[in-house]
Amino acid sequence: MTKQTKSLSELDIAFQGFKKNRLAVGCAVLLGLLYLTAIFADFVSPYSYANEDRRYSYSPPTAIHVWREGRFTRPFVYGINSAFNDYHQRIYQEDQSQMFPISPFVKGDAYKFFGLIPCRIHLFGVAPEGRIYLWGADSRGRDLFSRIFYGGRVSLSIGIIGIFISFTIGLIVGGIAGYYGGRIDDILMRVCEMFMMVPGFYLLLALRAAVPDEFNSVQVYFAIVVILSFIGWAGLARIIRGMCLSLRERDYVLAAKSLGLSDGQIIARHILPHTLSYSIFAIMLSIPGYILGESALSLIGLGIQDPLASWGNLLADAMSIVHIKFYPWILLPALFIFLTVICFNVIGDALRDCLDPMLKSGKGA
Amino acid sequence: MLLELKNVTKDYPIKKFIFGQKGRVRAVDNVSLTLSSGENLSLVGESGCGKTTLARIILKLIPPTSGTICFGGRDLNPLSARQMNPFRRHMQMVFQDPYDSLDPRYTIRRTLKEALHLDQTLVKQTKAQEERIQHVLRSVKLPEMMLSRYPHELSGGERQRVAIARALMMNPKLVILDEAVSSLDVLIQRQIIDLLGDLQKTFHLTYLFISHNLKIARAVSHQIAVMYQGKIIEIAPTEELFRNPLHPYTQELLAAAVDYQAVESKQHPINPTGQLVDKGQGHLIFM
Repeated sequence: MTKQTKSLSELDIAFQGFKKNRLAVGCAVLLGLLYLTAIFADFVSPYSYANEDRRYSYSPPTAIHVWREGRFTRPFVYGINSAFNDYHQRIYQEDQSQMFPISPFVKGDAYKFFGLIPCRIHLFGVAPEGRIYLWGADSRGRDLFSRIFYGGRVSLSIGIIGIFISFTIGLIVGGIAGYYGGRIDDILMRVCEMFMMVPGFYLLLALRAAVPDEFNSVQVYFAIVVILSFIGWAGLARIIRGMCLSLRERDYVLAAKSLGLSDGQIIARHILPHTLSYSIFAIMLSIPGYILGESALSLIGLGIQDPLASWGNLLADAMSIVHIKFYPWILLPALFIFLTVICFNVIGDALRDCLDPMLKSGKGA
Repeated sequence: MLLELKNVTKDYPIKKFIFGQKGRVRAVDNVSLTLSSGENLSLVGESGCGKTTLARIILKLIPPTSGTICFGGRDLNPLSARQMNPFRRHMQMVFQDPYDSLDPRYTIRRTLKEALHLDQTLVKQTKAQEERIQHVLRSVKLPEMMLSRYPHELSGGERQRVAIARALMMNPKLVILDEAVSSLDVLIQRQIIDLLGDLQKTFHLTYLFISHNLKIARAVSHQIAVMYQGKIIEIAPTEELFRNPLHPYTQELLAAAVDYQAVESKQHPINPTGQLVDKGQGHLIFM
């Protein structure tokens, strides 16, 4: 066996433990894919989120064919004809006289790559005369496949930005309260408790009501992020404060003090980094809260407004049992919320297992 | 005079549930001490007698309730944290538990480098810093490859050497060793004590040695002060104290520690108006 030459910090060791947990690694990969599709939503999806065609309202998922006139061809879709049945419901049928091959890197709706570079290329698509609905269409004939990825942008980023804001506040408030203790601690913690006292969802609604109506969708997005982090920071601050209270008694903190480091330096270098292992899994476990919070707001129509998509407002369509019965594909965004939340939780759990020193010493590592 | 404590007292309030105070605990009671350059002093006494609190007061890690601490003739009490910095360079501490006194997320190099931050002349000079680190590391007899290691990869003795190295980084005059060898096994203790002796010569240090172990105190110090319930009850040159302990508590301590005699644990009444009385040959006793 070769002698280990590189020294490993505690975090390196924890990361090695994490890599052994296959379920968690799988979830991390899946989550990574979800984030990639959200980042490259313009490119991955065949249509823009606002591209609608009301002739295809609630069109079911388009069948992809590879077999034509007795031999294999490249994948293609047929055109779609619609008719009304006796109950004035649309019936969609394939029009076998028209066929549209699915081609990679086709030109479609214009978008700006990373908001900068104008671009028209999409990963795949069909000629403009045909429509391809991989996962069906919504009431206005917009492609659900495309809208889910566009919705992922809002839903997935809101968790990250939200946790970033509330964690920054939580770390600062918790760090100061825990390090100084005494009266400062008392005041800050009473303020935290005031936030924690109010039931979250009602606070969410009340704060949302305070946001002006004339906000455009970007402003609404940021308003929601701020509201969600406003609710979330107090719990984090309390826990960080508890950890700091015990960390400040450690000898290395006293040693740093006797070396003449300032309080700010000590908090930033020797106290907060030690809450990191807790923070990482706390972050992982609280991100779903933000995603669900946004979904809940959007679901009841207070969040992201149509035509912009988020997983929550995509689900707003699925609030009627009749819609779910006839167009079950509109529940797909729920599957994405579910997957994301599960992934974050599994990763958070795995991180806790490999970062927890009690468990680690139990394994003799 | 390197260090002079005059009537240092520390009270801790006992808090009531919500408001106000129930009372006070006197951790350090009216302690006066002097330390001259090169004359090591040991502070011995049982757990909870206030030794560590006194050490922390000297370093101004906690403020005293009353009394003055003079270092090199300058009163440290009124100094702000910033004004205190030039003095911090000259007094450093080595803590009891080497598993707790090194930040586990810092490599040894980073720990030692951080200790240099008060040295303005070295702030931007990476090369000079590195030389200083190497020099101190050699002095505590650690190999250079230790620098890139993390504390959890080191043995207890190695960690304590790192902690000593950190204390020496800024060329201090006074080093307070708070039970610095008690958590190590006997052979390592011996090595560290020998090392401390060598370092004293090369770095011109003065040690304030805090211990409950009289044998170690005897090996390293010129003077021993015995603390009991926050007070210094006896202070004498090392050999004089071992030859002729005057206070009943000191006698009991010596009997238990050196001769392993069975002793009945008993309370020693402290005279509230008592004072240290000189018995000649630098031997003072509280009565």
